Amino acid sequence: MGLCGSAAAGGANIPDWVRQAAAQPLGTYPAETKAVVVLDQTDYRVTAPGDYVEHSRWVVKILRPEGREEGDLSVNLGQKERLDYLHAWTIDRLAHEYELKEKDFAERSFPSFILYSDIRFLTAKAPAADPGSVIAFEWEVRRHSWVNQVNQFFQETNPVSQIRISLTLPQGWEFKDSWPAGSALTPVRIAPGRWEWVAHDLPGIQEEPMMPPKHGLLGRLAIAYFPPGETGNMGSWAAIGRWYSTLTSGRRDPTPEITEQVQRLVAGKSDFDSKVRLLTAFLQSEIRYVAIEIGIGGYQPHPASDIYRHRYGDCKDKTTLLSSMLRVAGINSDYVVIHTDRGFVNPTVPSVWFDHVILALELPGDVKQDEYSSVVTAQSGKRYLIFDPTDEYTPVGSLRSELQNSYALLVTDSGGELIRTPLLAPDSNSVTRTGYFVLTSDGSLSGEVSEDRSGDSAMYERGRLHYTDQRERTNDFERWLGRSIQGFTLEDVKIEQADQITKDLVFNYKFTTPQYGQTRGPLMLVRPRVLDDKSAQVEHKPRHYAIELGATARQTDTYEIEIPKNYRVEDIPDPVRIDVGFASYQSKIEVDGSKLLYWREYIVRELSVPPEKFDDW
Amino acid sequence: MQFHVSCPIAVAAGKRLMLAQHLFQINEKPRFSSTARSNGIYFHVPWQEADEVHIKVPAGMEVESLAPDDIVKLEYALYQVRQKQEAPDTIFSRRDFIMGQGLFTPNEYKEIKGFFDKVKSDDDQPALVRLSPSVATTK
Repeated sequence: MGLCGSAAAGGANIPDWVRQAAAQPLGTYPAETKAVVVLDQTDYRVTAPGDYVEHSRWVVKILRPEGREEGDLSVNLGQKERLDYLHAWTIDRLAHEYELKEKDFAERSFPSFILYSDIRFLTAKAPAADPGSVIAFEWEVRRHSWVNQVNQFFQETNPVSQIRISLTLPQGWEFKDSWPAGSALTPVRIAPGRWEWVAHDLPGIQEEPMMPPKHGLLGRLAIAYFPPGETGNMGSWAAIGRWYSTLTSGRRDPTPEITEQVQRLVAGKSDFDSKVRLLTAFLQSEIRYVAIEIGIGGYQPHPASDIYRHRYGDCKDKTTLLSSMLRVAGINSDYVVIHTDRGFVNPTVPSVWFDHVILALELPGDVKQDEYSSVVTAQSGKRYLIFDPTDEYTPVGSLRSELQNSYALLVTDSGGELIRTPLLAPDSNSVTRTGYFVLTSDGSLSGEVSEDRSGDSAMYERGRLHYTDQRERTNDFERWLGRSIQGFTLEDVKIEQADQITKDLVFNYKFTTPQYGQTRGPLMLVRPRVLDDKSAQVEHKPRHYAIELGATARQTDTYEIEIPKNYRVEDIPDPVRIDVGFASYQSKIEVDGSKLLYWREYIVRELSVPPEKFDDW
Repeated sequence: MQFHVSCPIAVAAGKRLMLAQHLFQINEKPRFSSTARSNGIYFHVPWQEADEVHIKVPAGMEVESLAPDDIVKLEYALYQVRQKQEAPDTIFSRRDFIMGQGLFTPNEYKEIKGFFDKVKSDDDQPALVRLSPSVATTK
């Protein structure tokens, strides 16, 4: 057998801790388990405020071919962070040994929508990452943190046999650890100024269709640490809010140019609604989303003056400029930091792990709450309109489903408060389809449909329209239509109000499809539900996690089908009416002379269905 | 490969049940939906499918009608479906599909699309099952 490459065996120098971990007997795991993490050890050694050394040892055994991805090794380095050590080893199922050294790792940029970030990744593919192999990965990085807090998952998607987390602090320093409810581990003091948390046999996350974001399911902890005498450590939401308030202090100060722009935009307008709509529309249409995050730029927005001058920014930049402009217009607003994976922000784990910033606009006392859908009331009694200026297609007053019913941190001048973003009513996200069709005696069906979309249903379509050309739009539309009818000819598609996000998006289309009615002797079978299927193909078996429905919604279909003159309706299905609380479905078919009338309404009231209600779903 | 599976295959339609006959095609999406095509079509390999399904209808119900047999032949492809009532309470269906060519020009798209549209349309044709007259009259 030949081996090649610098990573190959021969001189592999496997440390004892790797051999010991590899020799450990494994427990019993579900048959579909891809890999087992034998050891996940992280040691944090704080050296000064904002500085610590992170040392990681990680050992995994691959059980199935799908577990090969565990051989994709990566460590990230932020600005001013320094790599002390980087090594990986593999012992395959035939006991061949391989070693990767620092020179075998490639440096990559941040793989995301961010145009530029100074976070780098050192990555490598472990040799022989195959079933039966044990892969070990060890690295040490001198970290620089913008806050005195470390965050870590203590669970992985694969089962973990043993996890060890330790914290070493300078003399006299203290810490506060925060855990999800019911999963706290007790630290053991293993040396002066050093504590350790240990857990064994943690289950993995099982794949299920329509499951919540995995990051929200994984157990994680936050450890805030602080020097003697420091009050207001990062172990509370209020403290994190105060930190962010300080970090953004002065960033929203308006310049004369911003003031002039606002005065131009809201000239002659005195009411809250008009001013807010004009200013939010300006941000949505005139300030491009471009993210450049250097150093603390991952947390701290640029000054409003820069964002206005350059006409671009990331989420916190757009939020900053809007807040500045609103201030000029006499409207107070506060940052809201949030995560786009609902369920990731855990109330019992105060943490700076967020990935998005939006805005809370304070509602004046004379504005009625029911004028807007996305309103929350803070503990102070203040009412806030939650708005995302990064979202170009959701008008102020609404909020896309991704951000609904989620914990988020409202950052005020006096600190922070964890709020729950609103869950919007089904009517705020609607699809209303009305169709008129003619069925001929050879079974062909032709007709026209008008489709009105609002909320998320319009937002996603507007985004798609924005980023596609006419040919792609037609292909997409035909692909969607092809799920309901075959062999059709699409005769006309008209799109109305695509650029007017405060109005419904309207599609009007005409088509003809042959053999829609299937003749069986004297019978013709016709499906009155011409378009769109509400079913989901999910296997019925015991469910571990909630079913994510995506968005609250109301979808209505009303079709009128003129049947051939030489036919009469012989039989129709009974009406259907199902209401399971989180959703309802109704349909009915009626006959009116030569017309077949079909009506269906599908309502989703919740974003998530708990696993115990899986059968209802 | 052998497996056991339970799944709904019938839809109530008034007095009848519409029963999917070609069980392995139930969730298949249309192969081609776009009216126009700019690029050629490439299948990695020629392939053949043969499905044979026997469905026993519930007691108290009887088969009213089956989808008609059909055959579509092209120089390079074949599709054939046959259905029959092999016993008073059992439906038999056989589906044969052959695609013998891997590369097509855009000019051939209309024919290819028409072929696959016909395949999809026939695959979706249900059998009709209704209450046996004896059961219906005793209600």
